[in-house]
Amino acid sequence: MDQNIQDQNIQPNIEPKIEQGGKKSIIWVIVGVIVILILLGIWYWLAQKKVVTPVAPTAVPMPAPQAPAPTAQPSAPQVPAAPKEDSVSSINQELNSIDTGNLDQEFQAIDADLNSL
Amino acid sequence: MKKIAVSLIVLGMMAFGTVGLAAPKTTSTPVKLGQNILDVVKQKTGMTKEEFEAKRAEIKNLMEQKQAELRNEIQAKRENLQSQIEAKRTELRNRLAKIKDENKKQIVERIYNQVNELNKRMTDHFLNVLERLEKVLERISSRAAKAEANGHDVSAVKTAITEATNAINTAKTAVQNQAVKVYSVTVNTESTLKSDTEKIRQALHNDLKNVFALVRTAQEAVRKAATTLAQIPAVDELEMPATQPATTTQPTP
Repeated sequence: MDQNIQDQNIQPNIEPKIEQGGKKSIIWVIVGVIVILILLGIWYWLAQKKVVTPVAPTAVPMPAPQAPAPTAQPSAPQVPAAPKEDSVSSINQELNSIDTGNLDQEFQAIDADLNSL
Repeated sequence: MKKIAVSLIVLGMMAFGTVGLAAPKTTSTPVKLGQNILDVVKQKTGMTKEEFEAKRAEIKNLMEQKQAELRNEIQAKRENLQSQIEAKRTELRNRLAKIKDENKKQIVERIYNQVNELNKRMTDHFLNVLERLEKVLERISSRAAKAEANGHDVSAVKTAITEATNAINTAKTAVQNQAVKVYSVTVNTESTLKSDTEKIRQALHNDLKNVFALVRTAQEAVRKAATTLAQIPAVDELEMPATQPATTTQPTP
């Protein structure tokens, strides 16, 4: 009986504590979400603001006329990079490969037949 | 407490929204038929590398689509002409009936076939050449656009590109007209058989020669554009900026 009376006296004190703890955790979650949103916003803003200035072409040093000095370490063979599709060399290469044809050569068979008439 | 939490959420959302709105918007207008990448770059300053590549791909697709349409159009016209070629063959056979020499009859008929076949083959070949020239010109436009984006004067290249485009279009029209021509022999007498047959050979030769000259003019115009482009210092090193630049800087020579 005494125990029951004691429980009834304690219970009202525990409930507000639990309520307070729940509220606190909700606030922390909300604060966390806001912080994430702000960080995302800053990251997006920085990404947009990032400026990339065109790199000035650097002069490629011409190879020396004399034979290259022997290197101490064996280096990997230098594979020349494939020219870009719209590079001048690639354009010229493609242009030179276009054959318009030889018209007179195409008429050879017809001319041979005509001569046998 | 709830009010504070709601206010904080609203504030956070507003901050994010403001940043999003402040960010530059990328609006893309569709590429028009016949436009080259230089025109597109001119319309939209500060184009990024990604936008440039996307527009270029769009232009290439349109160009290939147009080329396929022209081929299909020619093919359809040729199919319609097939009955005409057959009718003229029958007419020729009737006219050849008065020729006694069977061998000569066969030769004339063979020449008739060869002439019309050669016309088809050569117009197809010219069309191939012009399509390849168009593709080369697209590459020249791309490289010139990159040079322009890096502050170089590309007015001479632009002029050369326009001239080349016009030359290609003129040649294409000529090929289109030539492709649908039918050549027929008008046989008079056995004694004039050779000269009568020679007439269609000569007619085809003259026509193809004219078209050939236009194709060569187009080729030379494209070559001129390429040569003009090559005069821009270190043009192969120039690229579109990866992201929108704040200021355009001219590379030091």
